[in-house]
This record gives sequence, structure tokens and C-alpha cells, in this order.
Amino acid sequence: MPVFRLNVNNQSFTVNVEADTPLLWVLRDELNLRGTKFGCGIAQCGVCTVHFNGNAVRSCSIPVSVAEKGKIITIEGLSKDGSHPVQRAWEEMDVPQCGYCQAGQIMSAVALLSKKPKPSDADIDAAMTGNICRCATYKRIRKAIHLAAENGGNK
Amino acid sequence: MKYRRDIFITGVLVLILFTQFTFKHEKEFDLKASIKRGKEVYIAHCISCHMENGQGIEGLYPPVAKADYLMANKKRSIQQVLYGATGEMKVNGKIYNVPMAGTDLTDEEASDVLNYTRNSWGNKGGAVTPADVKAARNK
Repeated sequence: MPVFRLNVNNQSFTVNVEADTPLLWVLRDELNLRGTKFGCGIAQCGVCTVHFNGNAVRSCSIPVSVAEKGKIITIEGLSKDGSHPVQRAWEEMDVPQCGYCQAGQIMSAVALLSKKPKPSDADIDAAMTGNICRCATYKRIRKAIHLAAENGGNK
Repeated sequence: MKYRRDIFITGVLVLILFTQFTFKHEKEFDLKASIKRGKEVYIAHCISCHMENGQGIEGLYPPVAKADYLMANKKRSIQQVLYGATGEMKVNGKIYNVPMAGTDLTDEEASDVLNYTRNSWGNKGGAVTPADVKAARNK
């Protein structure tokens, strides 16, 4: 099997997997980064969202051969102790219910705030449309994003 | 007699008017309205990868804005909206290779989103009608 060099959370990793292995499975099974979850496997639900060069992308649908060309940040890379402004806002607003989609939601929110530090409701809806929450925590997600924006969530 | 003739003439006039109206209705596709509806479809189905201004994500998802690939082949674009795409794709000289999932859009929704993308961010293309989408579906 070919060898790939990945940059994940500002660390270099070498993995030995098939070229079409989705990034998600490299993160979870090879690098033991289990914060990123599996949902649908076809980039429709957003649970597996990570950052590729600062953009929110669906790791289940990106082959490792493509992923090695960019800088990957996962939920573990935001902060060691949950202290990222978006994570704090999530806690303050008590956003999660079952929690399964929330790592993906947070990654999309962080990517949004890095591009639009003060997003409108419409900006939030457009940026978060790829992340589904079956507990329907959408209103709290929106509030938490506004709160994070007030607290400088684009850091 | 005169009364009967008036009814006849009115009837003919109504018939002419009616046929003209129906023919006109079939011919004219409201591209502007379709583009407007298409924006909503784009936000719901495409924006997460192809981004707000259609620029895609470099190295990952190809642009639809000013994209030679999108504009080159109407039928191919319709089928990719419906059934997705896999394998290498060359867009504006760059190779992309990340699979795209298909959708469950109706003929009208697929036509709307194609009209939006084919007529936004510097793209300009002829209308894709729901009939075009229907014709492009796998039988």
C-alpha cells in the first residue's frame, strides 16, 4: 500500500493505506482521532466535517491521496481543553442534545467565523446548511455562533 | 339570425385567443424566475462544497463560477446534478478528483439550480428547462 504524509492539527503523520481511503477513516482508525464522527458517508450530513486549508469539508468523501495536499484541522485541533471561543459559546448556550453532530457543527462554525467574523442569520444558514442535527438544536447553534462572534470566535 | 352570428364570432375569437395563450405559455420559459428559485436549491444542496460564490475549494472541489467544464456540456451537467460524478475532472486546467454525490431533485429543481449556476458569478448560459432534465434522465 502507498505511503501518505498528512498534516493534521499542525503535526506530521505518515500512514500506509489504500489511495482511495477516505480521510475520515485515516483520522479515526490510523491516527486515533475519534472526535470526528461517521454519519452518512456521502457528504450529505456534515458529521465528519474537518478543515482543509481553513475550509469546512466532509472528511468521509475526501480520499487520503487528496487530503495530503492540504492542512487538516480536526475538532481535537481547536483546543486541548475545549477553550476555543466557539466551544465556550457552545457550552454557554448548552447547544448539544445527543451531541453526535456537534463536532461537525463546531468545525463549520469555526470556518464560517474565520471568513465572516460577524455573520448575519443568513450567513449562518448558508454556511451551516451542510450540517444536519436530528435533535434540531439549530436555534441554539445560531445563538452560539452569534455569541462566539461577540467573543472574538474567529481566533 | 344576427344573434346567432354574434355568438359564433365571439366563439371563434375566444378560441383564437385561447390557443394563442396556450401556445405562448408552452414556449416561454421564465429564465429569470428559474434562476431566482435556483439560488435556494443551490444553498440547500451545493453550497457546502462549491461555496457561496461558486469558487469551490482549491485542490478539492472544482469551481462552478467561470467554469469551462460546467458550461461546455449541458447534458453532462444535468446528469451530474442528478447522479453525481466520480473520477478525474479537469476544470479550468486543474485536475480534481473527489466524488460528488447525486441528488433527488425534481426536473424543475434541477433545471432551476442549473440555470442559477449557469447564470451567476460571470457565467452566462442558455436556459435548461425541466423538459431538458427529463430527457437527460437515465431511462
